[in-house]
Amino acid sequence: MIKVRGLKKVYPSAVALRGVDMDIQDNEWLSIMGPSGSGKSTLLNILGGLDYPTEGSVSYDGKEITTMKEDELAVFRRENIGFIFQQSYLIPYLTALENVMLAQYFHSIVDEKEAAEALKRVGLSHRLHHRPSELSGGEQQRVCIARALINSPKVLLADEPTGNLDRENTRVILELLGELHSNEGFTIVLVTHDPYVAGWGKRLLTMEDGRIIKDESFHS
Amino acid sequence: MSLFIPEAFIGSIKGTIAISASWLVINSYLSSKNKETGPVHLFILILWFMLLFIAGTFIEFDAFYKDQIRRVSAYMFGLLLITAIFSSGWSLKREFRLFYIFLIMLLYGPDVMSLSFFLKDLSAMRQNFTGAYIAGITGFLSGLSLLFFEKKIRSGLSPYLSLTGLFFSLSAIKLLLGGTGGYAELSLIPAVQRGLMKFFHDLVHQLFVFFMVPDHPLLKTTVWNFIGLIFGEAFTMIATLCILVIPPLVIVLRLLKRPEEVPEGLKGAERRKYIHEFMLLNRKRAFPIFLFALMVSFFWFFKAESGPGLYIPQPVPVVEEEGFVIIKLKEPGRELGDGNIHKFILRKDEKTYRFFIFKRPDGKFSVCLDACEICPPEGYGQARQHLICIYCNTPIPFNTVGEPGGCNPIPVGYIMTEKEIKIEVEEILKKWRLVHSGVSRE
Repeated sequence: MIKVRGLKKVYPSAVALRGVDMDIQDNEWLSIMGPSGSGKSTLLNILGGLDYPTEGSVSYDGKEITTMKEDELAVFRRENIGFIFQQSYLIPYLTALENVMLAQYFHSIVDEKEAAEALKRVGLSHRLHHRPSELSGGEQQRVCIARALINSPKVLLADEPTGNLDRENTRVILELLGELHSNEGFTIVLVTHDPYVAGWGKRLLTMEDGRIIKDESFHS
Repeated sequence: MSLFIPEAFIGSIKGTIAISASWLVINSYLSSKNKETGPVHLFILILWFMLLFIAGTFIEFDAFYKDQIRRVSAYMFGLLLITAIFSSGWSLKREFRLFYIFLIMLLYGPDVMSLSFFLKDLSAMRQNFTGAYIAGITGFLSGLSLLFFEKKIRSGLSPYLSLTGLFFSLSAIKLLLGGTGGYAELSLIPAVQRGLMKFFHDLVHQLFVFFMVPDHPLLKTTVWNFIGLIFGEAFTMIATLCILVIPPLVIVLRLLKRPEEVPEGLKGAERRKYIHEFMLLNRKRAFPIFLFALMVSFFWFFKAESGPGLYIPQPVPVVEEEGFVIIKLKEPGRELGDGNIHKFILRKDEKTYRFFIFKRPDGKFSVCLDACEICPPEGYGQARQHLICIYCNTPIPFNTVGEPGGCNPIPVGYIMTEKEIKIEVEEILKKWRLVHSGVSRE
């Protein structure tokens, strides 16, 4: 379980978070919505250990991450968290397979067969040796999902993962995430502007001006 | 300022750093297994070395026993090296904790005694007992200061030490700092090389005997000269490198392999992580072993570059006096009984005849021609434990100099009085006819 208590983030020119408290259960799919500047991405970055809060705490199964040093945090991220962003951030001169293997390399050792299997699971078995420039936006994002999940993270943090995609590709990506979530049981925290995307989660937090103003749960 | 003070200081600090470093390395290994060794063990160790040091200082040892004590040190080193090679995959349990203490006791005991002999000789030579011992004890205490860094060193070193790595690290420390023979004890390489020379030489001899190769001058000279290449300097130097470096490198290569088995149930990232951590640990453990191989290779290169390092004195001309050559035991600048080879040259009828006088470690004088019956008469040089045939590199142990036959220098009879050695010229001429003849007359 992820516990967030009294989280504040103050930048020299703005206040991004003004005291956020929340709990995220294991295997939960949580969507976070809110207007631009409401603090969604800042919250996600602190949850993922990419940034430190000005005040407050974030703990994963009792393990506090805001007090960890940079190198400890890097190890924690590597072993527990997968990231997907709006932009793919794939290495342009590596193939889809090599991009996934790169994530394996930074985690432990590479295993080509396993990487190919991961790409097959996201429906890209025919695109293993294509470079990002030879893939469509939806396919690139599917490579990102395979890359994010290759090291079996406990939590997948997604920041506008479908922001660049049309509705059809958005649906394909969300279906894929839903299927993997059901099969593999990791927690998803997904930040979006889009109510359609947010609707795929089981719980929705709405943020405004650095605070959570609404916390709703949906039961299918 | 006389150099004997720094000599005493450096001799002591070097020995003590070796002991302290070995203690730290062993403690690092033990701490990786959660096996602590307390101050009691260190106290036992220091007490043991103090006792040996006092014994070496106050008990009079014969030169023969001093030599034997130094040899024990070399044997202990060899034993450690062999254990290192064969200990790959071993792991000693908690009950063996005292074994490590005994290991250091045995490994450095002879060195501590040699150090006390060294200080005693130094103080006697300079007639300054207090100065030598104050410098020595200061060096001893300075070397112990390494133990203050114990905690820091222990936590840094422990992941790098398997049992094999521990033994190789101890070997490396011993090689770098052990003994009193210099700043770096490089005797390992010449010792192995001479051993190999003797092994190959004796093997060939035994094969000749086994296959009943006839005792023909042609076989004994021409063929022997070619066969002699395998126990020559170049071949045995390469064989030495192989023997010292290949086993640790094989162990390193084994450690760099992936695990043969992965625990059941581990899949995907967990499986990769297990393999990665296994390999990372083994890579760390391979590091000190690789370092040892690298160090030996470096010393080998240094040794190979510097050549055989034989002591070959210039022959001193002598003349015939009423059918004899008479050589005084002691003369200004020369003492025949100093354990060094002393060469002489006799000219007669426009021919030259070389011979030497050598006092063996057992106290017996030997007079021999500077040639054997097999090789062309290039003569002999002196190494630490052997005379070496300059032509074929055969090592002759000191205590067999004066024995007839084979590759040994041809012995010559002599008459010894209190002040001189008398050698009959006719005997020299007669024996010289055997040189390079390939026919043994003894």
